[in-house]
Amino acid sequence: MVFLQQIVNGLVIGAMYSVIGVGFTLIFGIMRILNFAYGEFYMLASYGAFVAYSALGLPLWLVLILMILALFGIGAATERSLIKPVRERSMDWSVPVIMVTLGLQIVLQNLVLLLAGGTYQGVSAYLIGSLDLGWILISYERLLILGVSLGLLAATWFLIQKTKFGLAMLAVSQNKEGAILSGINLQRIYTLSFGLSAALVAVPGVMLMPLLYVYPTVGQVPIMKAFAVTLLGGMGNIQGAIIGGFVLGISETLASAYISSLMKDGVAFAFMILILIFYPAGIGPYLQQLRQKVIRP
Amino acid sequence: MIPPVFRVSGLNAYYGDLQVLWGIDLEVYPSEILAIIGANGAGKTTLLRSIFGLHLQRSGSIQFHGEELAESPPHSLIHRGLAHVPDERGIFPDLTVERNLLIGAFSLKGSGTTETALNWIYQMFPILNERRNFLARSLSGGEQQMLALGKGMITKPKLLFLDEPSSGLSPLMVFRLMDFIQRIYQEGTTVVLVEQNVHQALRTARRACVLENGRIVLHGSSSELMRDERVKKAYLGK
Repeated sequence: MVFLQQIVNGLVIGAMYSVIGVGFTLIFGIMRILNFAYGEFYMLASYGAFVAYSALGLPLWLVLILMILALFGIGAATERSLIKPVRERSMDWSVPVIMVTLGLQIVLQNLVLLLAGGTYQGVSAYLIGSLDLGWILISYERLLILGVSLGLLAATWFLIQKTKFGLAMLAVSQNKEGAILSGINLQRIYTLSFGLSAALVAVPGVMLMPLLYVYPTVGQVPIMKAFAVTLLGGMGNIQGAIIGGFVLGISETLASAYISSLMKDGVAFAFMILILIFYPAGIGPYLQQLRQKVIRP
Repeated sequence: MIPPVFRVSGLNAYYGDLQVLWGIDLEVYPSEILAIIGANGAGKTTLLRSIFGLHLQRSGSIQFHGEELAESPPHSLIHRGLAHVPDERGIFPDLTVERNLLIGAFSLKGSGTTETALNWIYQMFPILNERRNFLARSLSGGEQQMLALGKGMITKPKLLFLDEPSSGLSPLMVFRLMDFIQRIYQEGTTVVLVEQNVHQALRTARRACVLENGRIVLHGSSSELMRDERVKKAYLGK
């Protein structure tokens, strides 16, 4: 029973890690860059949620929608104002752009430190009470987190697999010149993808605020998870990131239950290293190969 | 005399300080197949990349129906009726054949047009219809080339640039490919064919130019060039 309870807890946190990982890996897949300011997008959404929920007293669903829209705007504006000029100045812009995001990370952390101070802030919980199924106990808040994450993952999957915009994103991630020659405006895809990535991480930013609290460097937590999930799933691989998120969530929860909560991160990362020894490109590409073998033996 | 539909004048291209194309002048007339031939490293691929704005360090004028293209963003060229099938084929390896073609058809407007265009390509290349749900990377070299051609043609461009379509293909496949190019041409598309396979290129095209060290050194009708001593010696192995 304890084991099952831990698996369920792991699924809940894993769903959030999947969302965090998908937003991060999306940008790598499309632009071949790492966005070091990704955690700060999370942090901004968390502060926004804190202000909107506890100071302004807005309902949670409205806070979520507002933060998704706000972070979409911030992400898109970041691409337009900071990244585009760097891209236009050099042919080989990956490393310069990564440095820009690193700079943005530090600037945002310090700006928030100046405005909000360094203390931990937060709310105790969005929802109280638990659902008791007899064999497992799950709090309503965790159920809500699970539901919102799964809904968001489904919406992202739909956007990428079923819409023209999603197909254009896939095209850009696989062959930039082929995409240009098909009439796809790369600039537009970059800007919208950056907005989408920030909008995705806005949701964990809002939903995890009661658990992680909010402070200027809170972004370090999600970006570490994003790195782990992305490496685990294969860089730029969205399916891989979804699976990687659940793997990380469950292994973390089991480690803290059966070994020590202090060892939680250590065990999870050791597990990640172990997987990478056997599948150096992550599990995503391996799963795709498997699927391809089934289609064309 | 019919005016050319497409005209490149004084095109220069550079890799940093190194100039690789020197004052290229090129005219393409309506409804023709023009071959651009030359050895490896002569600048053929750079020429096409420069025309399509994929190679940014360039100067000169590029006109299509009298309209200057040098300042237009590269992705807008297909909307004007210019398509380019690059030498690494420009396909998307981890997407299915059908989705590759759908991306190729992005610039088509109007409901049902995409569907019609897709069926037309499937009719022309039945192998693509058979493989429609296969990932592009799982196709053979010849099938990938058919996909690249199909993707380039799906918008029925007025002017189609093909960069080394015969590379990596068996002699039989090259023969079939040249047959397809003839058919594309008969569908009303003007074709610029860049080839290292000089023999096949001169048999397919009506007119050709020879590129050497980034300059056009010879041009004329294919039959003239086939008799030209220099061409014979350098490219036809006679």
